[in-house]
Amino acid sequence: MVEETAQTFRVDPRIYDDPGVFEAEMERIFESNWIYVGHESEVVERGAYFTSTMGTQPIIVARSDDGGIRVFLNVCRHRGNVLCRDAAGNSKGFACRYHGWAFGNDGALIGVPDIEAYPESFQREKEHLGLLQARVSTYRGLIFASLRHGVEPLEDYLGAVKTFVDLWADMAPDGTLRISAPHSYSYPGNWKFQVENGVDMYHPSFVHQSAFATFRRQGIQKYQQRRALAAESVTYGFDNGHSVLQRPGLESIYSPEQLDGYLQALTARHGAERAAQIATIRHVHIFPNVCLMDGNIRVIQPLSVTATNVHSYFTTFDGVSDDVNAARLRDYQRRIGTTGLVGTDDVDIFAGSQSGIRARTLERLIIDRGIDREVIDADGTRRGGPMDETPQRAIYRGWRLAMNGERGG
Amino acid sequence: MVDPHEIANFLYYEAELLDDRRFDEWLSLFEKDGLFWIPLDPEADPAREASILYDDGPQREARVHQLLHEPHWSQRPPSRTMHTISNIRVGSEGSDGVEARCNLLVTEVRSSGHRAVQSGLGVQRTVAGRCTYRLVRDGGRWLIALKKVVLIDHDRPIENLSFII
Repeated sequence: MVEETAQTFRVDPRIYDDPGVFEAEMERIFESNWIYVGHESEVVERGAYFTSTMGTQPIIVARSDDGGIRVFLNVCRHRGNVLCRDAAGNSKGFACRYHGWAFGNDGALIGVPDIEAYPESFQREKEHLGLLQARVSTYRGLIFASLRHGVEPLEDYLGAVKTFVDLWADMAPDGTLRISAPHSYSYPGNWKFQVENGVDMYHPSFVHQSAFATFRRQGIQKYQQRRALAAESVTYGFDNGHSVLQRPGLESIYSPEQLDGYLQALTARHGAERAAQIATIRHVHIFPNVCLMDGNIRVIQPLSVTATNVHSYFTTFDGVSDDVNAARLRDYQRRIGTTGLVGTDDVDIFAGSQSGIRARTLERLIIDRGIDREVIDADGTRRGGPMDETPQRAIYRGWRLAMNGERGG
Repeated sequence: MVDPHEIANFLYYEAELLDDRRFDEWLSLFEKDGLFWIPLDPEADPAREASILYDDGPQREARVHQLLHEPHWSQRPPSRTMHTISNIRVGSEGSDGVEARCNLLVTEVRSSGHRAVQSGLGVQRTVAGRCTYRLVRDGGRWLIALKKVVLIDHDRPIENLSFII
């Protein structure tokens, strides 16, 4: 379904509307790869937890009493009832509403009412009847989980994109970045449309022309580039499906005084050269389901082949003045919050793609842009022009690798 | 003394302007520093924490400009809305104006004609919220100092809220 030559990269549009493909993705990607499940700032206290999904599987992410972060399948081992229906909370454990089986916040089975009624074999088995757990690994505050027994270490899975995750995490001058309640939106389309869009610089001048014209006319977001911050515009594609989009533009978010203060704080911590690298607009997509952006962390939640939820968590930085975070919030919310002038038009495009591909006669979609001018590093990282489809090709190479069961680890 | 009928008529008038897409006139119903707020967390400080929508005057103007004068794709075709206002309760007048509460049910659909079968179009849906207004006098008329709409699904994913509730 993904076909590549030296000059062409074509995908079968059935990947967006075939229920069989969706089920295979849930199994071979969402139960296999490292999946972003949350941020450390969401489970700070011992006993803190929240519920979520990996693919379509219900999970609980919890900070156990021993301080470790664990990810459980949100299902009672007895008769399969959902264990926890709270969005979040703090608890020493979880008791099933159905027959009262109880599990500690480390997942251990700690209580079975009327356990004497069970046979001898059960008494011996029960120590193995704790909550099913995913493997958990964190990097720079980002919590990932995997349901694959032999999954490679997270840092191997990230590979060369780690450099960009570090640049992203270093945006918070004292190293601490927090999230809170997200903007959540849904759309009647496949999850991969949002994935592709977050690392696409070819579409904004078309899809977002109404927003950009509005900002210009209203005098909002005047952009005057500072020479020192003239970071290049570029795209990257990495093994395992990760990708990066980078362009200058922080000057449109901050006042000159705020930007000075922010750069000073970054320089004090990282030196001038790295501060200039950090202070740019950068979208870092970690395949399959999370995009780290300058104002937010965007998490993509597949519901079905034609339905997706997206949760966009605004990030606040410690170590900056309140007005810097306020400026970031104002910019982010105006543009890509739930009612953002920019983001709402992307969402309509996703629905439009889902409609268009019902034309079965269209057999292949074209992702050739810039394919013959990519610069390929020794480690396999591909570098493209800002509007090239380097990220989208990386996404579908990573997709193909996982769907063919060819991932290492 | 505040006449509750006068307040109710004002709320119905605002709703009519929105359903008629008379957005420029709707803008003039707000005080210059008036705020339109749809919270994510009804108890949050909207200056510091994210909201579904938190528009001051310039942001409201930008929103209306994009709706009326630019190719705003998520509103082409445009939403047709029907604002239903009920359960209106009017407080007494204080130094900062009058508080009025009501229930809001907006029914909405984007139509591309009778034959269209397209994702994101043709499905009629509702948006339900409980409103708190703070209204102030300006000569013989009322102006909106604050319009706060707490959606009953404020913490749930929302599909395409590119129209004005």
